[in-house]
Amino acid sequence: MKNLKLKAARAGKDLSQEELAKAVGVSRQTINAIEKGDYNPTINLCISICKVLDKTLDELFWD
Amino acid sequence: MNGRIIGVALGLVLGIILCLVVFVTANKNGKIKTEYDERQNEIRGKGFKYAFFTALVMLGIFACLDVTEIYLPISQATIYMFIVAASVGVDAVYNILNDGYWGLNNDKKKYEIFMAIIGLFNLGWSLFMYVDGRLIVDGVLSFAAINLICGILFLVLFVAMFIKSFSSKDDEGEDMV
Repeated sequence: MKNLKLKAARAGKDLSQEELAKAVGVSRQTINAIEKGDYNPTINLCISICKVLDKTLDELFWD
Repeated sequence: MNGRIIGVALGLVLGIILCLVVFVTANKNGKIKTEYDERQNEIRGKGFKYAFFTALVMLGIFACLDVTEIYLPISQATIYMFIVAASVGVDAVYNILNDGYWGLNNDKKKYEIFMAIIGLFNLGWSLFMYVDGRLIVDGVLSFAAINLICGILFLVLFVAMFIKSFSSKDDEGEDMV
């Protein structure tokens, strides 16, 4: 299932996948895979993404 | 015999030094170790699994051939290297096609240049060995075929990268919102 909330939050911060990826220390493809719903990130990566995007886990990763 | 052992040892040491130089030169942060993220490590784990089973199956096949006294016109050492190359190839191709090959600190272009040089050198050297009559000795593929195997392996990797470059064009479009 696509993670549109993550995509929207990233766009809200005016970040590209590459920029978000660098900020959290992963590859651009990994961010792309999370947004497309092809990869379930670990809790550590979820927290890192939330910190960069100033969101809570609930806001980004809870349906 | 001693000269041969010294030659092999020298070759191994030079190979290791060359690898270290390539890693330090082609990694963006100058580190020898390539860094991968969690998704890439997961993919690489699967790649290793497929490589392991490839080696297992091939060893089984060659063992069966040996037991049934079906001898291939290939030297024993070349068979070992063929099994190694096949398993490395499976691992690398799987990683390339699933974005697990290039690490976070790899300079892709530099690695591709090094790989092209090494691949072409191996193919060229195997051609020279063939012309020189040392590739096939008495109808048997000699250990000199290791260069041919390496050259073909690099060729396969480039084909996989070429295929991947087309399939990943769709992903790049996802970057925009």
